[in-house]
Amino acid sequence: MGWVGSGFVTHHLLVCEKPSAAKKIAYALGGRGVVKIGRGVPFYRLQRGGETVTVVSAIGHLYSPVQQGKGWIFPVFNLVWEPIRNRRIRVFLEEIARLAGEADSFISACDYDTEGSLIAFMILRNACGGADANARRMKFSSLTREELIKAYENAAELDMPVIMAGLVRHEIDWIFGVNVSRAIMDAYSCNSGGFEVLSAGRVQSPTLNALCERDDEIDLHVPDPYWTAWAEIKLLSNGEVFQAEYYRNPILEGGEGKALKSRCEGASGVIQRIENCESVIPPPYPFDLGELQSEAYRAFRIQPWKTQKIAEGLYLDGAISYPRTSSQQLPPSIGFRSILTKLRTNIVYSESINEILSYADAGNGLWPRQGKKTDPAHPAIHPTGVAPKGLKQDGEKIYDLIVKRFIATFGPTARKASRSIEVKLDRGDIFVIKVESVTDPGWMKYYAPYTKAGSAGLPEADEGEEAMVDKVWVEERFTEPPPRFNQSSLIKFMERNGLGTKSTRAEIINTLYKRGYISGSSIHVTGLGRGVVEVLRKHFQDLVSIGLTRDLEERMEAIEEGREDYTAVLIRGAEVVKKAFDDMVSEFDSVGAEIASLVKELRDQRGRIGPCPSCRTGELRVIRSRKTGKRFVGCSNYGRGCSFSAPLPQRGVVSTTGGTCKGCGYPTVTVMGVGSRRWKICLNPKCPLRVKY
Amino acid sequence: MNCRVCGAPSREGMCKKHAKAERKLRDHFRVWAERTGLEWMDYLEAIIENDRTGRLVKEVATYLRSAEG
Repeated sequence: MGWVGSGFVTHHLLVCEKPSAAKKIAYALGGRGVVKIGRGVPFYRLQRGGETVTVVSAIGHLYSPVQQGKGWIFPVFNLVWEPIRNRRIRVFLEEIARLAGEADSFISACDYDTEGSLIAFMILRNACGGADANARRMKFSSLTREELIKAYENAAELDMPVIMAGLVRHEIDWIFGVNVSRAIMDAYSCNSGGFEVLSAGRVQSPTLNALCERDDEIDLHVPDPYWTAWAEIKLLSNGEVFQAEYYRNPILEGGEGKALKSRCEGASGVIQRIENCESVIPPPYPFDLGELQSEAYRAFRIQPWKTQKIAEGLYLDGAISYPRTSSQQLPPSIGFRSILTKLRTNIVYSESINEILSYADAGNGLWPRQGKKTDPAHPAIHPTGVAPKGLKQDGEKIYDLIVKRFIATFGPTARKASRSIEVKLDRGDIFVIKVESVTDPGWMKYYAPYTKAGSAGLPEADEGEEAMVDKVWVEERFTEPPPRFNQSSLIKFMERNGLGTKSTRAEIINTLYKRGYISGSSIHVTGLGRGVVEVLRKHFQDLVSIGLTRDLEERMEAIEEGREDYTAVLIRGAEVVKKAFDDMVSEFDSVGAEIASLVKELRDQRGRIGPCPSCRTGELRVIRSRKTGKRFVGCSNYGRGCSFSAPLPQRGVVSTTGGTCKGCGYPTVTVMGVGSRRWKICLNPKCPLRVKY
Repeated sequence: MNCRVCGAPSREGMCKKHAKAERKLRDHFRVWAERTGLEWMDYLEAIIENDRTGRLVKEVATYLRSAEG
């Protein structure tokens, strides 16, 4: 607070989550009068209504829970929140503390969700000298000028239940993650004297367990045979030929299929019944984050974490609303007509929007289809009407998907007609021709190319008309194993089972990849992932249980809604970990032995290259020299007559390709360098094709 | 005693996973026999050659074929 002329001038400090959001908020509130100050930690100053406003940003979380006191101990439950140890974060905190000294009013302007509320709360409490006591909260769902001004003018008290839910989530995750990871690493270390980074987590472990269970089902699948019969049937009135399905599919006896073929091929019959059916296909729901991630994966094969990152970038550009939402509903307060009118300036969408507005003005109203899922903080993801600038290829795709989905939700229902024609053959067998056609594409044309409205036309036919079978074929089929998860279906599975939150699911999957627990786009659990799960299943059964994690998630949500108490939920989480440790302590040695054998096996696997081309009986392995510490390839028959060795690059991850060199027949290896650069080399130093590294 | 299929330690002839795979393999033989009329050894052959067969089941079938064949 300061004196200017004859009165007080209030000085507001707005704390934002990211530098780009701070810039957007400052210019929305101050227009051309904004002054940018500082370089390392830029902040913005402006005058509004005769008051000074300073807008400063964090860089995500600046504080995290850490162990109180020193030492590698477990179980450990004493934690404190401290600044994250990082030079850049220290600089930000020092600058925020300095600016806090000049201010007398504090406003949290972080993203309006649990993480955003917690980020601002920790800064206000710790770096701004307990300013959380009197601070206020801006609540907004998009970074548009109108919404930010409204949020600033209506800033209310801090959303403490949301903050407490965020606190308890981080603290329980810390208690789970630190204790279980330390326990399994320590058990390994005590048993083997070695060190290996092994991790477990409250959401990560049940997710990995679910992936293992799916792998188990696939590994234990026994396919059963069955048959399906089809025929090509010609309608004699017009000569049109259609494909028809045998009415008793699936056939469960091999002999029946053969008999059917010989009985029906060339047979004649009559149309005994025609059924017409009309159905409507309602417009899609607006996007929540999970559905956007799934749809982007289906349409473009963009990974969920990347979709989330792109959507967050579009939000920071002001082009779309806040993406971390679980809502499938759009409230009228966002201004449907205003958004559509702004989007209409883009020629790509103008025709669709003109049609939608005409449809609305013809007495149908401008109402989007609403889904069932809600979010107390944010509406469904929607464009704001602000055109994004400088989008890259994937950014353009995601933006287009969001805009077209938004437009489609206002569209009329699509209509589909289907016709089923039953043809009874001379000997009583029945084949059914089924044809479907979209008669009115409705909303589908606004969502193209992400949906297809096929309109093949329905066959004309009458009951009693004669038909003839041209050809019959019987296909042998087998029951399929359950499909492997991909990233999109895994996110849906996590959502259905209450694992993680909308904001964390994609990141957890990414962590499983980074740890080497899973691999491939069609997800396989690696040996390491399976080993860790087996140890957890045996000794920390509760920690891989979906039920327990879901129970904790529900309790944390209840804190947000004011139905649960922070302390009670934290104690519940700690009790679960404590019980697991009590059970595990007695078996500490056996846990260590299990992990040691697992890690040894994995290291062995990682180091195996293939058969030795020199002695032909030994096996080539990656070996590290005790003298120089450098790695090379050597033969397992070293000391027994084979001295084959080959140099290796000293950086990057080496793995066998399983193949041999085209030039000399020696084994080849792949080296994955820093920055994911990958190349293949032959192990023969004298190979004519060898490229020097 | 070690698992006859993978060599892992086990109390009985096969480790838990391979024992479960063997149970499933034998259960499904009834379905195959009814639908195709195959004999046991031909069934094992068909199971081994089928792309949809799970890894553990295939390992057990391969072991049984060589042990009983």
